[in-house]
Parts: sequence; structure tokens; C-alpha cells
Amino acid sequence: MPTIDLFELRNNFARHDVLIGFNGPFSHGLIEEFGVALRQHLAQRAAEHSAPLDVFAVYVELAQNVRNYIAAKGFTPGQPHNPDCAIIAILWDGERFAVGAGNVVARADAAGLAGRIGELNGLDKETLRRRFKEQLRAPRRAGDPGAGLGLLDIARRAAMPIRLARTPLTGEWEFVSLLVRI
Amino acid sequence: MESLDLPQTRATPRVSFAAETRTLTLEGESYPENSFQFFEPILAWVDAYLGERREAITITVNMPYMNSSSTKCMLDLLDRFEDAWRHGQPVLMHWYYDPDNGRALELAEEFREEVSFPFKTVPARG
Repeated sequence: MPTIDLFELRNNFARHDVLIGFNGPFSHGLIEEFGVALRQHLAQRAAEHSAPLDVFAVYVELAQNVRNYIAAKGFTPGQPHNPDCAIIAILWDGERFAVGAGNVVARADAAGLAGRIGELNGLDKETLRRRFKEQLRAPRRAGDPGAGLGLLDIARRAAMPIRLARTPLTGEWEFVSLLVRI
Repeated sequence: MESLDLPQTRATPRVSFAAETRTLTLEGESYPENSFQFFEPILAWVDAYLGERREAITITVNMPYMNSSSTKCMLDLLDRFEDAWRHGQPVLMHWYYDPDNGRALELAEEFREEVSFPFKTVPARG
């Protein structure tokens, strides 16, 4: 009977210098708990990074985006490909901290997100600042817990273009991950 | 007028109003699960207060981190005070920021650009 090799999983985490890695259904309570752990890690490695709050902020925005998406879609445990679950990883890539988040996304939403990320990656910091302020003044979308500012905030804090990866799961669903280097 | 005193939690600031100094204080980080839900009673309290009181009011903000939707809620809050200011009510903002975090002052200035009432940025190491 095949079983998981936790040592190999651990080595994989170690190879990528993963500070925190989580895969599963997650709640806002967990987002907060991991946030506390993340900040403790960052404080210990303060010499390597001058903007620990940016790393934390990108983590919060990505995690809350994923959580809001799962809630909006009404994903529940036990569905194929576990769309109620997300993977979050915070790692050191040798030069920078990076925050990654991945989850199951409807194909049309994934295409929309890819277009949005491509657009944001092409904007300079001053334009991102202006866009952020414009969106800050935009009317709220009824029933949406977000303000449409999350990706702009992430792009403003990112040191490198945001990387987006799409893996088709079925005709309708994809696994989408974002990796942000700060 | 009902009092306003919300305790600080890990993801929400302490929000309180001191009647004797007429100072509204927001202190702590803000990244709740639903920022709009969290800020709704605060905005309602401010609406009620500004609706019946015309004396000078001071706002003190010391929030080392707020997520993007809290930023939107903060602007909604400042808009209320801006409206009162434009109707002749004295309003003063003391905005504390961490000078070691370059983005903290930037955020303060982005808010300051949105209002015309006196808005003082005060360096304070966290």
C-alpha cells in the first residue's frame, strides 16, 4: 500500500527553504495563526530582509483572496480535486522571501486572473499607486468582502513580476498558483 | 450618545472614544475576515456622533498594518470627518507611523491627500 514519505516531503520543504507550508481547508483563525508564526520567522531573519511587513502583507492578501474565493464559490469538503483546500507556502528563494498561494479556480476566473496579473506586471510603481487610489474611490461591489484592492496592494509590494501558473484539472477547473517575491 | 469602546484583537484595532478629550482612537492592526463588517458599527457610531455634535474632534490613528479592504474602510471613515470639516466642524488627525517602515509614511500621505482637514503625521517606533 503506497504511503506518504514524510521525510521526502520534509526534504522538499527544506530544499526550498520553506518557512511555513500549509495544505488543506483553512479558516481565518488559521490565517491569523500562521501570520503570527510567519512574523516570528521574519523577526529572526531580520538581517536578510528590510521589509518584513511587506512579506506579511502579501501573505495576508493572498490568503484572504483564496479564502474569499472558496467562500464565494461555496466549495465544500469532499468535492473532486478538493476545491475547499488551498496551499500556502512562504519560502526563501536564496535572494528574497516569496509567498505562494494555490487553489482550484474555475477556468474563466483563471483566465481573468491571468489577464489581470499580466497587466499589473506591466505597470510601474507610480502607475500602481495611481490605480490603487482610483480603486480606493471605486464604489463597493455589493456582497463582496473584498475591495478589489488586494492584487494592486500585492503588486505594489512585489519586488519582481508576480508569477502565475495554471494546471488544468478538468474541462471546467484549473489549479492556479501565484508566487510573489518581495 | 452611546459610548464606543472595542477591545483590540489580533486582527482588529482597539477603537474607542474619549468623551472628555473628544478623541477617537484606533490602535492596532486591522486585517479581519470581513473589514466592512468590522467597520460598519464604527462608521454608524461616527455618523450618529457627527449628526448631533459640532465641537472639535481629534482622531488618533496608530495602526502599524491594515489590509487592503481595511484601507477602503479607513477612507470611508475619513470621508465622514471631511464632510464634517467642510461643514465647519474642527477636525484634527494625528496619524502615527513607524519611520523604519518606508511604506507606513507613504500610506499616511495617501490618506492625507484625500482630505483637507489638518492631518499630522507623527513618527513613532513600534
